Amino acid sequence: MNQTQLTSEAVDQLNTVDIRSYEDFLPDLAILANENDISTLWIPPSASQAIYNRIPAEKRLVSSKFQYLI
Amino acid sequence: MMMMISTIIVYLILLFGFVTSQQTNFSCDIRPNQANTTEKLQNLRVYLANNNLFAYVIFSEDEHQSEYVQLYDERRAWITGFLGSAGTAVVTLDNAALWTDGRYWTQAEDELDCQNWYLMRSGQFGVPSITDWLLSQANGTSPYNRVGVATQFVSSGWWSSVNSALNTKNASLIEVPELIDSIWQPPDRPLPDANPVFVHELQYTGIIWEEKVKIISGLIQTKKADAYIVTALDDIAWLFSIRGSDIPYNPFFKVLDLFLFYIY
Repeated sequence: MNQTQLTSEAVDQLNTVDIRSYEDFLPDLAILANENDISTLWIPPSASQAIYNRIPAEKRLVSSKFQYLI
Repeated sequence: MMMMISTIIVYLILLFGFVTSQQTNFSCDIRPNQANTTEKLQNLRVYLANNNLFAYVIFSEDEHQSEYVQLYDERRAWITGFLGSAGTAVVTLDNAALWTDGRYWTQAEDELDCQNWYLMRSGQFGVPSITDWLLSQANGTSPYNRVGVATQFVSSGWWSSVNSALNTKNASLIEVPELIDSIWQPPDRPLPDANPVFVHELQYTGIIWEEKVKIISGLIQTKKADAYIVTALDDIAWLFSIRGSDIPYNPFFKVLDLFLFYIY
């Protein structure tokens, strides 16, 4: 996301979160998905085809999200 | 008796034909709210030709499959003139059509540029689905075997279903860069909103965000996965107990999906 959008209180609240730029998400996902120590990435059925395409089939788990929490 | 049966059959055929023609009536009733999309379609078709496509699909949703989007992301509204929040547009080299459901038919009749677009009343008898309409024009000959889609705007379920159908005619969906972005530029196009993102107080959330992450981490472990990818804007705002206003009338902010790892 664009970190400049965060208010100072929001910056403090998320100080342990690794925030990256919006445009880097899909390239970073492709890198992550191909790392050797990653065996399974779980995505919801509503995830975009762009996300789906970037996860190798053998590492892709498509399953409903935790509706009872959100 | 035979004459009566024949009469009934002829009547039913005439009735069926009348109903079908009424429901797929593409007559154009020009109204003052309809935008003229002729030049936009001409420009888009240049990109179809350059990408060797016979059709391109434009969705209402943003990268998170949100029904409600910021003005910057209203690509389907811009190319069609129809401002409703739900609908899918398909532009081919020769035609253009918008599918929307019964909630929006009256609005679409007012706003859709009917000189350039067919209004497909989704769910109405005799109206083809997007898949059937594409199939009726697709064949194994280039470019009629290639339908372009910007994959960040479509669910994997839609892609799988439509691509399988196209494959029966030796055609397929093709991942392409978003083509509307190439022809819709400032100053005509608004800039993306980047409004302040602020804390949603604990008195409203009832639980700190770190606790939510721990709970979901347990679910990731149950699934024997390494990470879960959160895609919906409302999910992300809930998870981190923060809110924004990038999306009109919605308390969300634009953030591309996030990785949520199982915490060992």
